[in-house]
Amino acid sequence: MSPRHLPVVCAAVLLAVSLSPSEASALPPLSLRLGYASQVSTARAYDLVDDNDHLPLFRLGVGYAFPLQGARLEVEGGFLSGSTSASLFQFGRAQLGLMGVEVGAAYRLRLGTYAEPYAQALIGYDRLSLDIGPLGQRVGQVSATALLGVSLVFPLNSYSSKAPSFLIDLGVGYGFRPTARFDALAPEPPGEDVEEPIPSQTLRAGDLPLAGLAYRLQVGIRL
Amino acid sequence: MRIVRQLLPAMVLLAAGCGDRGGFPGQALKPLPLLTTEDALVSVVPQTSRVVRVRKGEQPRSIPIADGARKAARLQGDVVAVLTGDTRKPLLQLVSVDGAEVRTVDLPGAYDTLAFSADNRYGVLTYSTASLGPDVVARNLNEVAVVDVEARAVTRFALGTESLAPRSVVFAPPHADRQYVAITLDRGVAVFDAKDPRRALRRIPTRLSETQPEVAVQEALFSPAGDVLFLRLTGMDDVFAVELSREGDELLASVNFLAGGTGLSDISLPPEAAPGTERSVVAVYSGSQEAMVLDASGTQDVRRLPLGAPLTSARVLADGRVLFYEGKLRTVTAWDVVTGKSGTVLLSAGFDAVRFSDALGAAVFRHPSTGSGGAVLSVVTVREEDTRLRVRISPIPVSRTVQADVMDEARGRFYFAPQGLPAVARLDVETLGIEQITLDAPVTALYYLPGKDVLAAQHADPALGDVTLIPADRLERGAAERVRYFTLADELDRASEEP
Repeated sequence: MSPRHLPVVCAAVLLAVSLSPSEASALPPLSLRLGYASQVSTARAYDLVDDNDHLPLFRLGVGYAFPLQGARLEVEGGFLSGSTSASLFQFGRAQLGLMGVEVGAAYRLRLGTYAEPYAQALIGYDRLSLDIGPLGQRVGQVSATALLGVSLVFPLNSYSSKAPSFLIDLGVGYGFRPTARFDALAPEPPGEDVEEPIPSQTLRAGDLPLAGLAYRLQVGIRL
Repeated sequence: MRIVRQLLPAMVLLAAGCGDRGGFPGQALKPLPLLTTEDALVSVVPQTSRVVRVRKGEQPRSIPIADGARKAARLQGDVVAVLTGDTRKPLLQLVSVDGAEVRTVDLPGAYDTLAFSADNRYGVLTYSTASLGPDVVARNLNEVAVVDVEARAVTRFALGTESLAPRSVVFAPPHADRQYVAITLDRGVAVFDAKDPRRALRRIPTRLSETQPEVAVQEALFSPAGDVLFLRLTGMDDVFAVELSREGDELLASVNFLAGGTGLSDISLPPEAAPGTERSVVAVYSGSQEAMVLDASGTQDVRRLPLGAPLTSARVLADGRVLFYEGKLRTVTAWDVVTGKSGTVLLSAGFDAVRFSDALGAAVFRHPSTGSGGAVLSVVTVREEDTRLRVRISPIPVSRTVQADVMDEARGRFYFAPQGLPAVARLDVETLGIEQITLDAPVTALYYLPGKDVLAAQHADPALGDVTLIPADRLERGAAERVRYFTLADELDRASEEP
């Protein structure tokens, strides 16, 4: 995470604390979420792998909330996976893949009957892959994400605040993903039954900027 | 629910509105034909505006050039010249592929062809009729430009001939005082001194008399000293010899018609070993079936060899002998111009290509496929005996038609790849020993890089780049190296450089 963005995140968390109602702490603690997450990169080089700057991801998250004075601090772990590809000079496709895990914390407060605004910060580890034709390279790197969003909470039993709830979660923020360096694309090693191919020289494709807007649309259940 | 209604449009806009690729990189990749330096392959890729160097043991390296690359030529050393830019800002870029340096020269026109002197000092750029189209409606194709590479100076001038467009550009060997250049045309030839192109320009008509029409130049050769230009003209039996000299600013030309036999079909310079032939030319006559060494001064005392068959081509080898041959005929004749000895042999079949090893004085003739689907190579060597030259043929059967071949002229090694097979074989012309290596894909073209004694086998994906580099003296899979998709080297960085 870039230090210059830290004050914005802190301000959002403090604002949420000051607005939090007391009944939020009475909700069930465990949350399961799954849905769509996207990382947007508007860098020109990103056009090599995607037509409209997106890296669509499937996200699965598990959170556990600790009650605070008038709010909840939810610790969440998530798994991300997705890929995107684009035609490459009419001869094949270039594909970028991401598989990653992330952990973080969200400060959540209750606003009215259904809305639950939150501020969330996550750090993670991404396993990125770039495949151009038969050549590919995997690189790993640390990432960070800061989000502001709102969860819509629909209790499955309206007579009990501790009953399971259905969640719709919308979040928008910034993904602090470092530029990925793909400097040694090579073919996949052959299988056991395949004759050893002639050694290949690696290909330097260059640097792929990945930082940019991040957003999520998830559904889940709170138990 | 109000907050949902407010957020949803923003999310939709975010998901859909992040721009498109702007045509990048959607256009088809069409690199220019591969070039070679002493130790590397060079690919000029107009669509990525890059010159890519491929060298064994190193990652492909790309060098940015201007947009619009349309023609490239290799100069001395590691330098490649590329015509880039468009009609509004045409450029000549000289790219040092080892030093990754690019020198740019602004041009007065978007020329189509380029040729350089042997010392790389001067270049001549010309137009061709192929460039006319929607962007260029009409153009004076007689306009040429002379580039002084050292001074980065460009001189533009018009040849002022009656011809539509130049056919070829021929440089004389470099000389301290002059650099003659001949531009052949469909009507005549224009000769100038590249050191002073505007003033020292001479247009030489190619006709026997004032009443006859001019004829096209088929072939042009400068003598080793560069002061005589020999021309072979369409439908003319005489060799057209132009003696050149400077008198002040003026370029003087005196023309001699060198008469020999009938049916002039080829000319070449005689061997350096032959005494008194510095201003002579070897002429081959298919009509009268003979070869002659003609002196530019028109001396009647000529060396002459009856060929016994209508042979059409001559090749002077480094050992001083001349080989005469013709594609459809089977006769090959060797002639030692110095001793006058000769010899003839009959190939087993006609041939479609021939490669020479100047160092060994040998040739490899490539025959098309035989009835059984295979092909044959014939190695022709010449030995001197007491009274004649003994020309010997060694046939080498090949399982399939030869798709690609290349000769290491210095070592006398002939490399070839059968059609459709992932294999390359090496034929030692001296010992006739054959070795082969099995590759991972069929071969479409072969290149030899003498600087590192490396053989480059190009596979069937020239657009994205797919070659296998093999040490020429060690045909082993473990020593080879495949380089794929090299035309995309540094592609991500290139995109970042663009506005």
